[in-house]
Amino acid sequence: MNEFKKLDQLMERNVPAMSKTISKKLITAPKSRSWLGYGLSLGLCSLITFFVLQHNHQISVESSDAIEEILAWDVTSDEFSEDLEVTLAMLD
Amino acid sequence: MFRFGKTDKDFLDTYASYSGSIQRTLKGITGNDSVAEELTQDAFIKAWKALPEFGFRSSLKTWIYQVALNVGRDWLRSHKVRNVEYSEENFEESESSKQEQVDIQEALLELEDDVREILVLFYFEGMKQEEISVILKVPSGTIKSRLHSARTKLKELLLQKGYDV
Repeated sequence: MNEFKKLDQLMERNVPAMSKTISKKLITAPKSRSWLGYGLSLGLCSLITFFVLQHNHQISVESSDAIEEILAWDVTSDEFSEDLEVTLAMLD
Repeated sequence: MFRFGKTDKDFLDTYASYSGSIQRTLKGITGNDSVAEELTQDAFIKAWKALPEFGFRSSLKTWIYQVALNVGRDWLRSHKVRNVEYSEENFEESESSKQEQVDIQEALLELEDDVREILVLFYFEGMKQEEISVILKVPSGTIKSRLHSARTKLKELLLQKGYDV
């Protein structure tokens, strides 16, 4: 009779459970990507870049409009505060 | 310049395939989940950096285990504390009781590092004597006798804890 039979049985019963917490944590292990995966990643990056550039362009246009407004202000006029509110709203 | 070649893909595949096993081995050796997780990352980073000198002259799996065991040994050398505290939350509910899992891990930690390594590779990784022999770079016959001695020691410790083994 195998002198370690009972020991082996005890280990077989426990080792899977002792390892379970680890395998749960490793579900995010990197996998090799397919060409489709690379294509989708590239497409997503391009889309994000496009929106960022578009957004920056809008800010730039709005900022230059606001500067023109400021230069045209007559700070002594009664309409100053109203103009300021409108301009700030444009910059917001 | 970094180029993603076949070698790198092989390495990533190896990571995906063996990081779980390596972490399980390191947990068995250190007795601590978070340390094992950290050491697994260290082992793969070291292996990645040393990839050129490895040169695929042997199995990548065998080599990764060798690097991981070295990382584990380094950690044990610099951390003298053997009685790692366990939180029972680290152990899964299963057919076996949490107490059994804690007792087994404690018994493993009471053993010498080299004895524990063999037992972890044998019981946790289900490796045969020949595979353990290649990883530990020790003749198969020596592993056979060391494994017998290691199982005897583990059995004695568990008998002391009241297990019928």
